[in-house]
Amino acid sequence: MTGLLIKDFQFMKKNWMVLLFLVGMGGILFASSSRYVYFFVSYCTMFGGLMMLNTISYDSFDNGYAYLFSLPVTPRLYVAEKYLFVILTSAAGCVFSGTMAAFMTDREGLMPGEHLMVCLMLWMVLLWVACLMIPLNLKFGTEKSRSILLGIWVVVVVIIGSLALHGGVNIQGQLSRSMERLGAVGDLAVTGGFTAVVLCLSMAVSTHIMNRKEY
Amino acid sequence: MMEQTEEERTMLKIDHLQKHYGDFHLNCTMEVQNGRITGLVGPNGAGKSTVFKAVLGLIRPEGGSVSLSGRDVREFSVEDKRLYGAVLTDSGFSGWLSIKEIIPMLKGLYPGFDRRDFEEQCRRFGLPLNKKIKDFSMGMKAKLKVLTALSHGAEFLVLDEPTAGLDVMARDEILSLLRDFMETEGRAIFISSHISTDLEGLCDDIYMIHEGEIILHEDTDVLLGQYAILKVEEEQYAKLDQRYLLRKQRQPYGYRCLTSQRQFYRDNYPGIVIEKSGIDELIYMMIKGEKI
Repeated sequence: MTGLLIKDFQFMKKNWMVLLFLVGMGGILFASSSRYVYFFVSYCTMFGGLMMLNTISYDSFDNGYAYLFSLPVTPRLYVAEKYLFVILTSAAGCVFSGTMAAFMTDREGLMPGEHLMVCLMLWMVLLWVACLMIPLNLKFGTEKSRSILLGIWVVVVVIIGSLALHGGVNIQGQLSRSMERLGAVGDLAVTGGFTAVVLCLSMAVSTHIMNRKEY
Repeated sequence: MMEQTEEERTMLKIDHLQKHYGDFHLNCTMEVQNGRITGLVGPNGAGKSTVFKAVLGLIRPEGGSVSLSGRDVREFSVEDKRLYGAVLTDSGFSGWLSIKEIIPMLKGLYPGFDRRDFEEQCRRFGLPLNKKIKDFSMGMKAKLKVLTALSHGAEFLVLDEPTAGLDVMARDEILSLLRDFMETEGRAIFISSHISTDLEGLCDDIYMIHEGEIILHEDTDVLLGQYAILKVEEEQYAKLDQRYLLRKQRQPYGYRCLTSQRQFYRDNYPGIVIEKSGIDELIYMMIKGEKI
């Protein structure tokens, strides 16, 4: 696992200019108005997570998987490392942006504890996205998986829109009421539990995909 | 000292390995014994790389089994995989990394990785540590793959075309490293190469594969010492004892025949032309020649 993590951080290091540029862009937006504070947090968290997709492209390029799996790397280990990497990089993005937001803005009026909770929630929600993107990337490759992900978003938006417009379902309202009922700790526990389940399911699917592949 | 059993002597055992790709059908049975270097030769598309990939667990066989040191390669753990070093002809480290960047990765993957020796060997073979691997020549990439396979104290080397793209000098140095590797007891090498002279000078025994089937297995000494090409006219061919002829091929002057008993024909047919057959000649005759 250590060897694979080192490799992925080496790949990440290759893109430090891009990383700096994008974080800088987010920073400019963030500095222009404190209204964008949580956009900045989710942007940095997501960007940290996206680094993982980059490493999958590097690994698969030029039939690279064949050599990688001739080293002491099993598909299960490979997949586990990718999830650990995305957890670490997105957490790093979240901690960095969350800390900046905590000290440089009024956090949209939130108390420090509430700010921490929003950051944690954002991190976990963005992990759900990663949990969808990893198996798609492993199965279909970078290019195809982007189109499929876009297709999934369209379907989700259409379903939610239809429910709200035609079914009279107020999803946001129902979600808010449920969250209020549970309280802050309850919300965090439910979201954390759901994230753990999504992570486990996604890892199982990704491992299955890699086990079925031939190199 | 207790003698090893047959099972203990077998490092790699491939038993009726089957794999199908369209019209291509692999059905292969072979072994690599402990303390020996075994070669696999055959024309392009014969199934060599498929066998190597199956040995490394990179493809799923449709039948049969592949076991290394008595364990099925499909069940291999990370620890098991540390026991071998591999070279694949069409795949290597990501070209975006440099040797300096892969060293910590190798250290993380192999507890037995000898950093100092690896760096020294890289310098000896003229491999720059800071240059991106994608900017290496084909020969440099080949050297890096072999040096990596040798860097972590593996017991078994699986080398698919390790000398591809190397010049004569570099090939000789690499082959010398492989001979040094075999100095330690309990090791073995399974190797393929398009350069038959490499295998002639290195291997203890050689398997020949054609259209997915093993068509010949022989000790290299026997191949080089007892196999021969007979060049005979039609009348001579008619009088030949054909028991030891493996293949024949029609020629303007009569027939070229492949035999596994050179001495027999030398003793009994002093008038015919008998030439030693190298591995290239052997592959050619086994594949293009007509079975007798």
